[in-house]
Amino acid sequence: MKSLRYSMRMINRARGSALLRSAAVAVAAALTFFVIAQSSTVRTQAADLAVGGISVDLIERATLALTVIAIVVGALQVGVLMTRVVLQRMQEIGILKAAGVSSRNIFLVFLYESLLYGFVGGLIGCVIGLGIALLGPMPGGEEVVRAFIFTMVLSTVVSTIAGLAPARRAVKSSAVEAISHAW
Amino acid sequence: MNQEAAGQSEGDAPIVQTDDLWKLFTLGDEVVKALKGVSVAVHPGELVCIMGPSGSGKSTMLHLMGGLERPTKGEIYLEGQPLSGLTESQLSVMRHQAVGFIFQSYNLIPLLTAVENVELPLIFDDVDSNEVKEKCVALLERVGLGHRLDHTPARMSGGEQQRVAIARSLIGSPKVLLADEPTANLDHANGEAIVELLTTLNSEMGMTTVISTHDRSVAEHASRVIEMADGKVIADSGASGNPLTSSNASA
Repeated sequence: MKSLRYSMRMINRARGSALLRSAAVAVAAALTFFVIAQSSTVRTQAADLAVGGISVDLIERATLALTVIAIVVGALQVGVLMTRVVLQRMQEIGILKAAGVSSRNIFLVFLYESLLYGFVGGLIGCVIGLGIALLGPMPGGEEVVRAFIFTMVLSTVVSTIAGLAPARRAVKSSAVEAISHAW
Repeated sequence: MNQEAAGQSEGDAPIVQTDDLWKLFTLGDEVVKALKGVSVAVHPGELVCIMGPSGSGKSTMLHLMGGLERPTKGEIYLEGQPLSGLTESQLSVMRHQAVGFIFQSYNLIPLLTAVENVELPLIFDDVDSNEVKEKCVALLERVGLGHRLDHTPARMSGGEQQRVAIARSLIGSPKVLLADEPTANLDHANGEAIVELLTTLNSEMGMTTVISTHDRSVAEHASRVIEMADGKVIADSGASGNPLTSSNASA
């Protein structure tokens, strides 16, 4: 919990760049939200199109593929961004290590940060996704709730997984190298 | 070299002791010998100054003494405990409880205020945060920064930043302070003030302190001067109030 509080404090102190990092997640989350919220509409429209020779199955699979691609790209972006965050904060990691802060806590600080980007990005994405969804046929309330829960869980979990490698990198770095690094 | 004999013959055990320390670094194809068999013992209450030009191995020496790095060969005893047998996490706990580090470039976190920087070493511990905060304020007042509690490093001078770093090194009530070139980034007056602060902490709190420097005026404040060159100890003025170590005073 203390590592989570520290992550939140550091994110809060650099809100601007944190918001930009969340945006990477938000794009994927918005698409996910939109697809799920509109899934029944997509299905009925696909059924209409099916008359014209295109199968329902194909259209559903194409939408799903798009969403998966968006999620993978979002996850990769979180991984890249967190690696950069870890490199930027090498000095801080060195100080924490020199002060004898446990590797577990240092790991958690950076893992929680990825988790928070996923969570905030998910929220932003849901709002954007809802905005786009409202442009088309009105989705049902139940579908919106389902899309919201699914998107939030997915973006948070995927971001956290994407942050594992950078967080491990933070722990593995040598304290002396981290501190004597000229900035 | 014969410092270990002095350590044994004395009543109060050394806080930090090194035994035939070697440290080799590999830079590309080249092997750099930073330390070539250094044996030193630092006793409680001493203010030791390690003098030497850059590249003499004094920074490496401090890193090894504080368990920040592992030696290639040799042993380090921190409060009598050999460090070679410790796992990384045990070594980390050891640093946390026994060592305070001060660095040449202050190493404060730019996003945090003076108080937050000072409490950093304890921020993940299971301690009463109000108590820690009070201790931070008290330490900052102690180093003369009672009026800068909520300032970030960018709004402080180099001397002030180094004072914050000193307060941070003291927050965990360490047994030994290791200051690596603490005045090298400061002008003479500010550097002098930092050394005076360390000297006062040593005399008033009995804080065992090891300072590395290439500045001879810093050494004037020390109770003992160890001179290093080319990875070896070339002179040691001996532990203060401990005539037994004079056998090592080759200067």
